[in-house]
Amino acid sequence: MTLFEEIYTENYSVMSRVAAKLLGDQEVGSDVVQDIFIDLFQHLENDCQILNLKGWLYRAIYNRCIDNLRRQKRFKMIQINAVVEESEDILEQEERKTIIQNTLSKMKPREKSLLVFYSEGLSYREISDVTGIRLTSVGKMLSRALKNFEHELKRQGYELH
Amino acid sequence: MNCIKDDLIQQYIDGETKQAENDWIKEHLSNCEKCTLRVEHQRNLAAGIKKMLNVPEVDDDVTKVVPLQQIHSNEKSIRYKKWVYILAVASVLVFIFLITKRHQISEESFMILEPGFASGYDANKPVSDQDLIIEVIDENGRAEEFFFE
Repeated sequence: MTLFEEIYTENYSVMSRVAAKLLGDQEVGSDVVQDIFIDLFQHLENDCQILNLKGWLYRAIYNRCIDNLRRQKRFKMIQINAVVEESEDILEQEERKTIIQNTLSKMKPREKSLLVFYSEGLSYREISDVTGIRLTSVGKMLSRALKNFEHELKRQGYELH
Repeated sequence: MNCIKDDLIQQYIDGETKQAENDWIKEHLSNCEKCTLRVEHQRNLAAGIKKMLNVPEVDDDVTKVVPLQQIHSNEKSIRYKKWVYILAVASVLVFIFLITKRHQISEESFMILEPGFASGYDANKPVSDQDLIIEVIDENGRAEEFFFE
């Protein structure tokens, strides 16, 4: 197994999950992650040094997703939901998923990113490195983002369990 | 008595406070019921949202690793997207160039365009944050560079 294959296998799932949460769309998220691994492949082929691989990947995801979210604002997507018969469990899961995505979609891209990286267990130092937010401001912004998420959730008629 | 600020509460529950801050908070909490409740609320809020964002239904379909061969086959389309972006910018610049230099261009005139990223493409930066450079060479071999920030 080559170095790239090892990195790919170890990190693909986490990066896909983060991109899907940030973008609220699994397919677009998957495309973004594939783009990033292609860039990484070219980087490694050109013998470019990456000191902190995890940081590099998170930063690449963050930048791509922020770009993508800004574009989404300019060209609002129209979603057409197909009507399909599904079991109650699946419907409940889908509903929860929709609530989470709706709530995240109402938040500013930077706040949304903070929450997603926080939920992935990144430290304040790592969040600061990835997003460019000052280390001393991470706590303040995170506290506000959590409150905004709760507020938005309540606005949609849901409570945290 | 000064109560604990929201951001410090957040840092405290995440274990990101310094030793001195930690000691002060513990001391304060032993005497302030209001702040104790605020800390408790913020702790539950953070834990609840973390849990909510990590429920399996959000993760389910996305964690399957796409085979590498498929990734390599997408490489061409990515390069294509980058060049579409560069060429779109180039077209605008050529248009401006033609308008402003119209009187100098004879029928035998020709131009060469060399679009690219000023410092090479960097995956760690958004495309919109990367400087583009278009080099225009006219029929006399005179080159002009246009930066697009």
